Amino acid sequence: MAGEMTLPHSARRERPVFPGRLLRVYFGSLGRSLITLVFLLLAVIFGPGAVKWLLLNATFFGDADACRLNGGACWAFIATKFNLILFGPYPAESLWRPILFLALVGAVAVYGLFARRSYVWVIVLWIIADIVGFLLMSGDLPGLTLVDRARWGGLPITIGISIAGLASAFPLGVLLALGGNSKNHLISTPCRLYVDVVRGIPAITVVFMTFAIIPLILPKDIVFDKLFRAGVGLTLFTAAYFAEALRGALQALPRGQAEAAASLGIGYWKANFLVVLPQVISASLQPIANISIAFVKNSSLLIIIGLFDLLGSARSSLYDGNWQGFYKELYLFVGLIYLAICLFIQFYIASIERERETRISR
Amino acid sequence: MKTFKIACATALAILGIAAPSRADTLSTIKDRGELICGVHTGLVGFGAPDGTGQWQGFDADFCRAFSAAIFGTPKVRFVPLSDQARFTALQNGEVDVLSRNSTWTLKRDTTLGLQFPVIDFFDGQGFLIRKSLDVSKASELDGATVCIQQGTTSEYVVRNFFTSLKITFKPVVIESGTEFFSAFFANRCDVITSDVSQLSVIKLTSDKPDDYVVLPEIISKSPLGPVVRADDKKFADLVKWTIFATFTAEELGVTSANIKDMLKSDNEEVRNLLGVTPGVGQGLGLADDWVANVVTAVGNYGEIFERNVGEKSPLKMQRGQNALWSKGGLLYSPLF
Repeated sequence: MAGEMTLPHSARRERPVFPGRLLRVYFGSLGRSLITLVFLLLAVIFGPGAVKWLLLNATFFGDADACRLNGGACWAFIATKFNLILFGPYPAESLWRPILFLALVGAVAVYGLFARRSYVWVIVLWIIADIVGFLLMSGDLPGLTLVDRARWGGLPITIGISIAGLASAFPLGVLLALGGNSKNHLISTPCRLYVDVVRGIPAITVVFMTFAIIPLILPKDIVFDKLFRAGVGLTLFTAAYFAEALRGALQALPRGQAEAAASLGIGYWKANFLVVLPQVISASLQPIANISIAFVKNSSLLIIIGLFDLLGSARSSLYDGNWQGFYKELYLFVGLIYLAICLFIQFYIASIERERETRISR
Repeated sequence: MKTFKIACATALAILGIAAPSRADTLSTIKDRGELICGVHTGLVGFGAPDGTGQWQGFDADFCRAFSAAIFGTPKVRFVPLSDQARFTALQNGEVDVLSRNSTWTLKRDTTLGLQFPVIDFFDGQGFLIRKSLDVSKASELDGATVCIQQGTTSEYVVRNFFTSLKITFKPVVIESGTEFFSAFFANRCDVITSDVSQLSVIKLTSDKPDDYVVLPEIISKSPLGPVVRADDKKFADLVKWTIFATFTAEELGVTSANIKDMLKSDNEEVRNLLGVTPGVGQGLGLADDWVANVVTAVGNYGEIFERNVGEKSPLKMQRGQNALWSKGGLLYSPLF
């Protein structure tokens, strides 16, 4: 089993590249030469225009009139609106707080890449960073002024809600998957029903329902915060996907594993946590990465309930009468930030996967 | 079945208890120490966060006005709301008042548990044209190609307008969004039609905003104003009369700049409005200097208009229908 898992991986591994090999890679056969030529042609057709718009004719300093005069990309717009794009309407004098939060998350991210083995510990660090960030942003610490949550926004919201949401959706998904796999129908039926129902609803509907319905059914003092409600909505939504991803691996796992644990006298929960789940989770790391990436991107739906996530606060910078018509630059910039976050998730989980595979095959 | 009935009854009871009575919005606001105002998530000139994260714009300034009437100085928490969430948020008490470009219609006024106390902005469909066309009136647009947004009432309105003038036009129907105005800038049509406030923004997205002009004619009605909950007449009165106060202040020439001198004025109307002669706050449950505070904080209607959407702003909208009744507009305040 372990041998099978490592085989395709080692075949995928790249070998050192020499000039001769490079030529063979790109022009080795007729097919390869054609593909290379097509790409070169595309670069010749689109390259100069792109470079011209992105760099040569671009405006880096100045105002909107300077941008219109130069005709290229208006990076001056991004520079002027930088704080609003990244941090939304957060009070300017306290901006160091979200910046510190992002730095904290960044530090954990870098640490996570180096400490791939202790990913449980890294997950704990993510959660700690998120809680500290939450306290920093709200100002619930001694010596800090309180900042109303209606003024939170931007990248900290996207990252904060992603960490908190994924950290709560995953355990929920595990429970739903185990429940759905249970022999007791009183447990398995509701779990499967939940997963099927939620997977049949668009994320935006779930977000809007939690926004509109929670205040109606709960006393308003308990749950009145939009951020919290949005987080609950996305968490409940994502948990169903996690459950489904894990259920697949759970069903693929030979029953013998759980039975062997039981025959050793290990109880249900202990057997699941020590024997079943580690195998199930490592077998479903790729879908977990997919769902995490989807969560980050789904957080951009929060603007519908008036929460300024990264995309929302970026768009709010478009509504300045003095800077009209620079949405291309903005979407490009924000797209790059999303791309960086999602590439990181993909890269991080892939590195854990590699780590586990080499460990299992040893 | 019996258990089911009991469960339903219990659920209804809980819902009934949980839906709190908020009939006294003014006391709630005073206890809280700030007004919670629902604003647009982003609309040029009307409500959008500035570089420091503070909400600015025409609608945001009226939030400040309501708050200044209550507290003396503006204490507002701005809650940005999308089109889809705005009425729900007001209904469930998340905001005290909506000040975000909502059109007053019979259906909204009567079926949502909400009320529209007054119109603070008269919007309506107009025309944006190239200056090079050398047209100053819509009636000179004979034979013009007109870009219209698909699926809006504007197509119907514009057809009626041209038919009634007995002039011909060529409609180009385009899906709404960016294509709509890029088609205009790409010369696919001579004229583009939409609400005037939107046209003024579209104009700014072009490379050369000065090459275009919004024609003075308005050919449809789009009455915009603040919204409050229907169950609180007292608070609706406060919102309504705050807006009337900004109209009346402009009428009497009271501005944020001359308010100190105006407090010493001999004009009985001015003395009455600004509370020098007591009585103006009584019926609303406010202090007598509330109008003076509103004008000090945000100015009169003309100042609010010019600063956010008028000549002093990038939008450069004309007063048009939003001028005082005495100057050919529709702003008409009852008596203080």
